[in-house]
Amino acid sequence: MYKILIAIVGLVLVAGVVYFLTKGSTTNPQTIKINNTPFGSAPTDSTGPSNSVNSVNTLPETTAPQGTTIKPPTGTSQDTSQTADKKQATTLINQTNASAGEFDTMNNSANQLDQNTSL
Amino acid sequence: MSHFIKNSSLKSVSFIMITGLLSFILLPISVGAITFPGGGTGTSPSFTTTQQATLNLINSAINKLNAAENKIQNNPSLSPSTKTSILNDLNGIEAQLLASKTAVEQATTNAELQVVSQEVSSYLKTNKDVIKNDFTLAITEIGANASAKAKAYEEQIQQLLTVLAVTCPSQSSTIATLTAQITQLETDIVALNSAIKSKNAVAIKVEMKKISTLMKSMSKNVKTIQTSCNIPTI
Repeated sequence: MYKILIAIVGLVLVAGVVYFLTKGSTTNPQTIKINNTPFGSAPTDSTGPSNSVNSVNTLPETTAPQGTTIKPPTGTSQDTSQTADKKQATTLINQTNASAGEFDTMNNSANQLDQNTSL
Repeated sequence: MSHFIKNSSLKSVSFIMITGLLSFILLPISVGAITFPGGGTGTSPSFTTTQQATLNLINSAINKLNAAENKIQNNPSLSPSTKTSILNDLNGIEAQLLASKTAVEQATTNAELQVVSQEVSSYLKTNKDVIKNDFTLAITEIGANASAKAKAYEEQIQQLLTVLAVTCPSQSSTIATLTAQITQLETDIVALNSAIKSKNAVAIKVEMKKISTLMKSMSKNVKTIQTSCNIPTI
């Protein structure tokens, strides 16, 4: 009688172990994938949540309301361009002043010569 | 008695005075220091007058030549080659006149003096326009250089206006005035070039003066824009 009981218990334990090993896990190992896509690019296959780390790279676009003037901060390329234009203007003004001065000298030089002088 | 002495002294004094006066007149004549007109010696009044008049004529021409040479030499707008050419021309005439001056000074007879004087007169007549021609040549060269300079100025102003239209749009009115002045400048440059081509010294000077005045007005307008838009001077 004892032998029969021990055999039954043994069978139940073996069956239990076999079941545990084959069907006991609640996680399906087939759904676990390692995402090797580079940072910043959209994953080709992901089972993760929709707001994953990859989507954080893109900032949402903002639109200024109509009639709003967006003032560029100082030190921008626009400021640099304005300074360059003024510098070029200064150079050209100095050149024109020099040319006008040289022309004036020539005018005075011509006026020093009286083309009506006879011997 | 006293009357006799008084009368005798008066006669003596009169005699001495008359003798002295005659000696004063006759002595120079006797030694040839004074000759009468037509005598033909080198010290006759007509000879001296002619000689001095000829020398004055020569000296006046030499002074004019020297003044012209100084003006050419010190002119800052002439090329060295033009200066050399003109100075050689003027110096050649001056050298000829200096030789004539020596001939006039060394003439001893009216006939000699008359020949030299006629030569001088003829030479001056032939070369009376030498300064006029050389100065016209110089003015033409200056005018050509001035025309090129005015053209360069015009191009610089046009570039400047392009920059100012962006840098200083608030001064659009003055910029428009400058644009109109550029058109006027172009017209004046054409007129200057025409005067240069015809070697009209008077017209060259007139056009240069007009352009100079216009440039001064344009520079003033540029200064207004520069100040208004805080464009640095350096």
